[in-house]
Amino acid sequence: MAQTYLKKIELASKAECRNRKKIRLILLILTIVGALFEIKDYKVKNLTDNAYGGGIDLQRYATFEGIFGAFLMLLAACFGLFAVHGVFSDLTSKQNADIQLSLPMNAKERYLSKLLAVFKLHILPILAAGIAVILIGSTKESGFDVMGYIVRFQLVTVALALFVDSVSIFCMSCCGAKAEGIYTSIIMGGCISILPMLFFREAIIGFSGVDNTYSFNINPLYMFGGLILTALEENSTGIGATMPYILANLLMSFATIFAAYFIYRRRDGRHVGKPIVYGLFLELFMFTGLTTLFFVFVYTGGWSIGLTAALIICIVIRIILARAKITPLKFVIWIGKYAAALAVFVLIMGAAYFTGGFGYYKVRYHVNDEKLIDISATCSNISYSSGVTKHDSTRHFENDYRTEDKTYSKGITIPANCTPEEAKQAVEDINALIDRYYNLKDRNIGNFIIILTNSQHTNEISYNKHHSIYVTIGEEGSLKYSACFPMTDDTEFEEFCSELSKILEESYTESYR
Amino acid sequence: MIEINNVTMKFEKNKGEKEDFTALDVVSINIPESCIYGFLGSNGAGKSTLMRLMCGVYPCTEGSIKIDGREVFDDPEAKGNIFFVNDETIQYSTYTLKDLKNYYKCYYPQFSEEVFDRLTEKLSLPQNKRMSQFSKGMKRQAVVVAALSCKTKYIMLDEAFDGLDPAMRKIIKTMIVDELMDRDAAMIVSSHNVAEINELCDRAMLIHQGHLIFAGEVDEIKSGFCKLQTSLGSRQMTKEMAEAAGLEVMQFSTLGSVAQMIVRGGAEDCLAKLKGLSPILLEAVPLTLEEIFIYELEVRGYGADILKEN
Repeated sequence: MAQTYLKKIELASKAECRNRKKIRLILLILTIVGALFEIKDYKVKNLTDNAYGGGIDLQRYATFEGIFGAFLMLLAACFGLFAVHGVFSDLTSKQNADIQLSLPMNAKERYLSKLLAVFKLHILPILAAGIAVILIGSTKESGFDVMGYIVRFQLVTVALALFVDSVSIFCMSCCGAKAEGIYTSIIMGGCISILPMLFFREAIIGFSGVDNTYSFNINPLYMFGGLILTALEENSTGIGATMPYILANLLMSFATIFAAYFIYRRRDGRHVGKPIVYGLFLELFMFTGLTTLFFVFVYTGGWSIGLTAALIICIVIRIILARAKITPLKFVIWIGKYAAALAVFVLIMGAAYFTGGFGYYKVRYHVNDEKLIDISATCSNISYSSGVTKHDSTRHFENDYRTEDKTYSKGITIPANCTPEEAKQAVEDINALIDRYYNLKDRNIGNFIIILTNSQHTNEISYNKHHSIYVTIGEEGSLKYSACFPMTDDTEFEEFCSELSKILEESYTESYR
Repeated sequence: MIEINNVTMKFEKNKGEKEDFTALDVVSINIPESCIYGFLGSNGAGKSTLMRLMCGVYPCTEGSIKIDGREVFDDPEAKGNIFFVNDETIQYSTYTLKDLKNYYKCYYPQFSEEVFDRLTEKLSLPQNKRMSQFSKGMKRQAVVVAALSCKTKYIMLDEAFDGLDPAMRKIIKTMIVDELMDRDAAMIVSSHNVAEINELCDRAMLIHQGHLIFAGEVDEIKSGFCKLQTSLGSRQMTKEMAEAAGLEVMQFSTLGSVAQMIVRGGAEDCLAKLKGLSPILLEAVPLTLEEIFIYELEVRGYGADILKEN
């Protein structure tokens, strides 16, 4: 029975594949040529940078030389949109729906056969090309690091291909017209790739002042969906620390495909031809798109142009999708929905501001093992109108340093200046000091509006007169953590500076002397 | 047997429309095996919707459609007994005949390559040419050949003969009938060409604006209507007089002293009812299915507005 069932699905997928000869041909050309170029240019550069001047290797860049081959493979991954569009044509074409829905299959069998067809048409050539590159490449290059990087590259390509497929299947399942299926897939794919990163950068880090994401291998939100490509830039040549995130992306794509099944099985011939089948999807699509635009405008500034552009885009899409007569009331409703999306965005941002990035301001750095640690702190009593004075973390001052504007910095480096235990103690003491003085009592609506409308979206600048604290901690030569926050109380500021100076002075001097 | 029980089909209203569109309103018919069943109806009557319901493209809003006792929607076993040829062939444009054969072979385990090859050869259809290069008639032939090769118990053809020349229609019809006869399969065909249904089908139904008007054997249907010609001599026959005599008059006209009327009922019964008026002329003329179609729809006001304007 099970064998018959599987055979039926296999046969149906075979029929689907036969019908997509052009797509199959294009994908085969892209993957074969891409793989050949990758094999030809199979090499990974290991570059070392010695920016410290103190002999510490800062970065090891893994730069894949087969750029053209890689480009073709990534193009093949993105081409999944058209493969999905072709295979799931029963959702958008009345003629195809008549044929396919009347075939002796139920929705589940149809969906599984289509998934198998997409796998055969799109994923299989990419997988096969990837395996060929790895196998042939292994005869050319030795070393686990290089091989690891190539494996990672192929996995990233597969993850990207699956992401494209999953988003396309999801969007196609919610649309009844070809054009809508394609453009919603592209827009949704783009938006959901960058939205987590924008949210984290702007709402969490921006409003907490705490950043521990200087290294790519720390935050999975920076390599969500299409941004999985950034996993290739991770600073190592091997399989890399991003592997769990590549696998997480693959799992997310599978979960999306699984969720899309429940939408697909509700579809029947009645929905074919409707641009957007489910109203909820339309609102989700519009909200995702608008929120992404709002985050982009918060980041880049230019709210007046941004809000207008977003409104125009929103109304144009709604006009395209409108099937009934467009009345003035409809315009009012559309503008109302736009305003609601903006209000939700402002509420989210407001919640992030008043909770210090949803509590992220309490995140601290902890020393886990004996590594090269460097700490620097800048306390400033300058009243800022714009711009930030940041201490250059790559430069460390050996002496107590004060300027006329009462900015002073202090840095310690392990093992150059102190023992690992002293450094660990210094980090914990600084954490306790930040815990004591960094609170959210000065946050108010006025400041929030200024921050939001002036694109000064971090908590570095928010007051006409304040003191600014900026503490950074580096590890093995790279910046790992920074905490930046304002202080309005003069006495508190003096106390903080004094205690901070004491911690650094003690840590610095004891072993160094 | 295909059992269609109290089927109602409503399409969700679009934004701006006040209520759902009812395409079919409580329709019930039974389609037995080994018959040729004709679906008649005006444009937009609901014939194609009913066919799509019967092959599982749409689910019923209310009621049920069963093929050999199994609910057809989303049931592969029930759908395996039926093949639907819709009124378009554009979806097959990129196929060659070989592709078409391979496609359906994957879905219907009982697909007969022998039937496919034999019929395509008989019709001289080119095997390796894309169907986009076929004439309309050739495309139709190809799809019908595929349908017959799938060897399903029921084949539904939605306006499959429309737009074809008479010779081509005859070729396709003969081919279908020959094949179906051999294996006791049933064919359900919808068409605007009532004469064709009259000639081809042994059963038929008429649907108008989603409502079933009649269904049954063609001969029975025809015997349920008759055209009467009568003259009362010096007296003028009127519609009221005919109705008073117990006739259900669908259409009434006079030419001089001769009255002509279309009435429901058997010829003998109707003639007997009018004999009481002592007519000097009284005769019954058999009706064609086409005439029944036109008069039934006229009674329901179909096309009346257009005729009035003209």
